[in-house]
Amino acid sequence: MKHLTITLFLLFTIIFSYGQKYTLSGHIKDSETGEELIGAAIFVERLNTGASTNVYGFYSLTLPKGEYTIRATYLGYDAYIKQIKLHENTNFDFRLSASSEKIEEVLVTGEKSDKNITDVEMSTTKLQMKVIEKIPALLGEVDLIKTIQLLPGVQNSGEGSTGFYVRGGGVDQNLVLLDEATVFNASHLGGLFSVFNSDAIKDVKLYKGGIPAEFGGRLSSVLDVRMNDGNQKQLSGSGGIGILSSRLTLEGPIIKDKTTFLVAGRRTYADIFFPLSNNYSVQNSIAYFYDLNLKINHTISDKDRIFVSGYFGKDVVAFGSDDVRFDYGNRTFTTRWNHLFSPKLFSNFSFIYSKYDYGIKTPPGVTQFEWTSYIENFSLKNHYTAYLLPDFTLKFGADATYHTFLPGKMENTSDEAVFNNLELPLSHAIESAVFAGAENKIGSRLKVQYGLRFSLFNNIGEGSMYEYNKTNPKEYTVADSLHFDKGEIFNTYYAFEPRFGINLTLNSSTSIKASYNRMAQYIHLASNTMSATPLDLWFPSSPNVKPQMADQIAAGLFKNFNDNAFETSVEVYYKWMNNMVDFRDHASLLGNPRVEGELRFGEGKAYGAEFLVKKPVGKFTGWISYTWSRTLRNIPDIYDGWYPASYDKPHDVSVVLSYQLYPRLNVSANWIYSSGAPRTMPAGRFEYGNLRLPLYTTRNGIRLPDYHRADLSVTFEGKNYDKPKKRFHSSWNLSVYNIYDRHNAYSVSFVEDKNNPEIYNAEKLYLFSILPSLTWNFNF
Amino acid sequence: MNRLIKYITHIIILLTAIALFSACTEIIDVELDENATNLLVVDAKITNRDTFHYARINRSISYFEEQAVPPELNAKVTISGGNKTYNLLDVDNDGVYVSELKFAGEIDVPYTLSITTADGKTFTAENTIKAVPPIDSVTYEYSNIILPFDREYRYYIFLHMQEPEGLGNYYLWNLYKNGELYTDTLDEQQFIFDENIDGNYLSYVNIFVLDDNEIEADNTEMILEMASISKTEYDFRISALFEAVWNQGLFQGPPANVTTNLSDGAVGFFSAQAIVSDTLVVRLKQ
Repeated sequence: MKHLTITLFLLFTIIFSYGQKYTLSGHIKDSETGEELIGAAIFVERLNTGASTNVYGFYSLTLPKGEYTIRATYLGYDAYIKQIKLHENTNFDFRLSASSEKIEEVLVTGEKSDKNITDVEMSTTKLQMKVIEKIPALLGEVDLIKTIQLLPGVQNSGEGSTGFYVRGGGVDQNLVLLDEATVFNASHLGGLFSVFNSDAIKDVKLYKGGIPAEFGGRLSSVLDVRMNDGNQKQLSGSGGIGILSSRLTLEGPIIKDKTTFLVAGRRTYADIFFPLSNNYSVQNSIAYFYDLNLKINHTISDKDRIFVSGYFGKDVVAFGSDDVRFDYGNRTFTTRWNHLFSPKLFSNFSFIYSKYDYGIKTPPGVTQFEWTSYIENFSLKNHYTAYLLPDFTLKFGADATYHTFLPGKMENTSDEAVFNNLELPLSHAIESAVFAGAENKIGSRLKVQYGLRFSLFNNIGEGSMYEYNKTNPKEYTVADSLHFDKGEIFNTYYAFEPRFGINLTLNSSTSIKASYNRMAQYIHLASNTMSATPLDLWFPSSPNVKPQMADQIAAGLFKNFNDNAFETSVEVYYKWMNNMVDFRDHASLLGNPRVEGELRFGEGKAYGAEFLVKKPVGKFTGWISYTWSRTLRNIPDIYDGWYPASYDKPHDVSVVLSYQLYPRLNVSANWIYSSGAPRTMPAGRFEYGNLRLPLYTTRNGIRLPDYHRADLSVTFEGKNYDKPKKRFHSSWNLSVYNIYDRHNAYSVSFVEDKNNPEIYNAEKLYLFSILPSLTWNFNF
Repeated sequence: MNRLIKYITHIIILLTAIALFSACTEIIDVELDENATNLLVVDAKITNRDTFHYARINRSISYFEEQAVPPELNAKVTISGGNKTYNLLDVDNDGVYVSELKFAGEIDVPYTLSITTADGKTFTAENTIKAVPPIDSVTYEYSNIILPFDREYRYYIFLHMQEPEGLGNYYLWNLYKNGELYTDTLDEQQFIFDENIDGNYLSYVNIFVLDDNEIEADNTEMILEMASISKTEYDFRISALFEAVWNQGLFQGPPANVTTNLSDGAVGFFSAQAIVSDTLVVRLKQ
């Protein structure tokens, strides 16, 4: 790899030295906090060309010698215009001030970008925390994943849940990254809240299609979440007190303009009140979750920066003095080093650690045991971006990840234990990839993005596996068991994953885009339930489990109106998925050493059309999206023929509106409608052992009632809202979830009638009635 | 294994109960596919005890149909194995077919249940009785501290026995109170397989828990019955409990038909069991 790097580096040097051209590079930052802005645009007016900042806020633009008017813009910030004489390589940091949208006359200067028209990128949404924070939230807990569920092409996995499905892909087919580290289970409280503390998050980007070559490992989407770097100028903080949890974030310089830190914590506190209960079991319960985000970044020089960040979160439910316990959580740790080899060659080296685990301790006695399970990985990444010409950018790099899976370990805690200790063998795998991708402009109207990712997956010993006799598709039997020595590579898969995107700009407000991508997924999630449970069991591809593959094509028409005040788009997509993983009927997944024998494979297809109208800036902002889509599966060993996936909801509407009624008062509302999710429901019944047992004739053949709901939130700013000199700002947020009290069915069960045991009724479970909440937020 | 699932289910329910203090249920109208199947349903059993053996045979109906399941009449029912065939007759015309004679099934002999319905269709099922190890003793304790969730007094019934070495034993436990089957619904009956207990001495293993009010009189006679069951019966019971009990509400998994060992589209199960038991006298509130 190093060899290749040097060769390419020399090649660029040769290209760069050709002609009288110089490079303007630097960062685009928030003037107040020094926080780098991701995806901010710079534009050279005379040449009608530009660039945008990468995830580290870095930009680089190579131009002929001359004098230019450069405009730096970012949504929600005032544009910064600078005259630059370019007669040598120049480093310049743009510092943008947040536009005070609340004051009407400044409105016009808020960025109205045509980025959505000019970028090749499609099927991608970038969200700013400012937008997310205004959206009405369940129990006042601002949640970026729930905002993502309001975007076209994204479905939720049930009421209040943070599981999401992108264009027909499963929950486990989303790559969720926090500062580049994989978050395996992004949920708290069994899925009701996500692990992302909004105060610590800078930027969120969701890729539904046209996924760039630098990402891989999941079939359907990438959710790239970036943490704040920390205020470079002064110690500042933010936080909030809500009915479910409280938050506090502190950030500031350790060495001004050089080293910053950020510490953000969040914890629920319902359990503090448990001892006041007069119910024994509540009194003796423990139940909470917490999140802790830490980050330090240090600027060594203009050319070198180091970032260290971590996330620690846990959910705990326990009884008595830890007699019975259930906990789960994620840990991530990322160290990154940005290095500029030249103003045109940006590089990043990352070391990443990530772990998800859960534990269960059963009630005391001779049968007491503790159950643990985890997935852990270590990754190294080395990525380069070469800004070769203003119209040609090349990205390339390599990734390697070492996975360790502990499917389960059962340890007795009693001296007179009757259960044997059980340890399902650890399994190990290495997932690596090299990629290269380029973006260039051909003529004035055409932009293309193309790339190739080569991914490689090795199962590596020490490990063991079973071979199965598959003559009976309902139940496989073990044919042989194999053992592999430490370090032995016993299975290899690889895939070429081409990525392609094209943008044809018809005029300054209209473009047509198309994309194709192939994705490979080598690790899979076993889950018996349709909702997000914490009992996640991740397992690797192996000789028994082929990697999942997906091909997606998408095309779209993008048009802006009123000088970019309104953005509209229509996208259509079609996706084929192979080697989809499912489970035989009544599969036993937990504690089963032969879990691979429970798997069944098949194919999937998903297609749809997504419509979006968006107003990104102004007093009145928001979007309306409508998605029509279908998601179908065909797993021959489970069901004969194609059947709808459990999250196949053909119609999906989201309306998200926010209005700045007065300078201090913002009103936001959203309305969501989707077709009911399909479920398998009984056609007939029979009796056995005094139980009524169902008979099914179709899979996912009957839909739950349609889902719809409206939420409202009102944010009232404290009196210092327009006095930037006063450090302390506060606001009150009143959110009302499900304002017209719709009892949306979460699931349907069939229960005996209370008065007549001969009669059975369909009974829906609904999670939330109308649910108001009040949160007090502050920052200083 | 069903205990593990039970604990986990219990914990998840507690977890979500805390999370979802506002969750409620409501009766709704659901239009089911009412082209319901009219399948033959069989509940039959052969044991190693010298007794009358029975087969309860009826039909499945539409899910919401407000009636009892119709008995299957005029079928020809036999159990055969070890060169012997026993006829089972529906004397009361209620779909319950009882063997003409008392007989005891033999260990390790494959038995076939055969049912020919009045319209001439034949359905069969096969099963084999496996040996069951002896119980050393059954004891109980009246306590309010064994389960940590509350401080209610309950009767905890414990089993003591040697689990024989060698994987592949499946056990079923039933409880009789004053001579009558007390665990008369499928979900009250306990069952386990020996993967995690193979060859161990099982001491103070809690099989059943009775609430304080379930023992009404002093010196109540309880019988703990232990049966060996086949793997197919274990799988059948797991799948039945999934569909009828565990797979409800919040963590619903993909439903699927309950397994069976009957052929030709019939449902239900033909069970084969070797049985041992031990008697226990329970004192009121002590």
